[in-house]
Amino acid sequence: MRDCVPAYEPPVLAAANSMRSGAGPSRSRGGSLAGIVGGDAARAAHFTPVSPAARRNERRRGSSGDRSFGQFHGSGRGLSGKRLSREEQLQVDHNEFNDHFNRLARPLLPRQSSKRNVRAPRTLLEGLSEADAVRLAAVYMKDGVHGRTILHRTDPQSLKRYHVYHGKLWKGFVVVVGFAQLLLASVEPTAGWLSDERWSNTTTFILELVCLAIFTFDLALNLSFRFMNRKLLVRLSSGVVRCYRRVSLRVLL
Amino acid sequence: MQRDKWIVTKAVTIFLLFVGAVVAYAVPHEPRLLRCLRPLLVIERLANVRKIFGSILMSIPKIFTAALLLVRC
Repeated sequence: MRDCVPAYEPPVLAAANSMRSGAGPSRSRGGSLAGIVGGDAARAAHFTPVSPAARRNERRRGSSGDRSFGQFHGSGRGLSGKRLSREEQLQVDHNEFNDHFNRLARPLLPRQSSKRNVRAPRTLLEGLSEADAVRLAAVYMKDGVHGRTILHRTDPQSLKRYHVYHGKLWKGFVVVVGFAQLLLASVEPTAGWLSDERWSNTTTFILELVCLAIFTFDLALNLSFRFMNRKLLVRLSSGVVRCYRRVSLRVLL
Repeated sequence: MQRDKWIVTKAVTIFLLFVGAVVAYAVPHEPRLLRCLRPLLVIERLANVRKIFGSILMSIPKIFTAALLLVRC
């Protein structure tokens, strides 16, 4: 049995075997992962996985200790000793992988939230009415045209603020206020020969405070409809799900 | 990511300008060095100007290298 073709070993099993054959629980995770890609992988490929439960079952059956499930399928034969076809062999491989994954890796994964019945929307427009979906699609198209991120809130109030912030009227007003604040430097008391005596220190101070208040409101308007440090899971057209922090439509197309 | 940096820059600039305005009101004849931050507020709001400003910032090290070579030669 030992000189036969080595059994298929999924990466999870290789990790488990390398941990089992390593220094034990005190060994770091990095060392275990390094063992997968390093020389331990070749050693793990020749190691036949035998779970404690399988060993107990073997003992109950009264068979020899080194005869295991992995060795059976590694030789291309089933538990009954019958030669398996390629499809059956693959099915056995998948079943064994799923079994070991559930037993070894599943407990390491973070548990799902209690809201198991609440399904996250698969697309950005899912769950919206037709009118809201069209409005949101228009906003996304604007984002794509102007190269903005699409990581912003999509409720109606936030979309109104989005339109105000990116509208020509408010944007032009803010730019005019910015240039007015720049021109204040020419009439302030410290402007040298350009300074105007009619503009006292108090007047320029109040005007600058007004300008800063408008800029602060502009900043608050921006922050009111956008996410900060939020990640978005995007399902690409190839079916792969990726996590993005800043997503533009170039990613989705 | 780049946009977030600009938002942080804008918030810090507004705070510094506010502090500078208060200091200038309290001490009228002192030079107001924080006034040089005012253009950042306009630059942040204009996308094309923002790109040019970012490009200039990115090219400053190379300009400095070229200037250093010119001075030494």
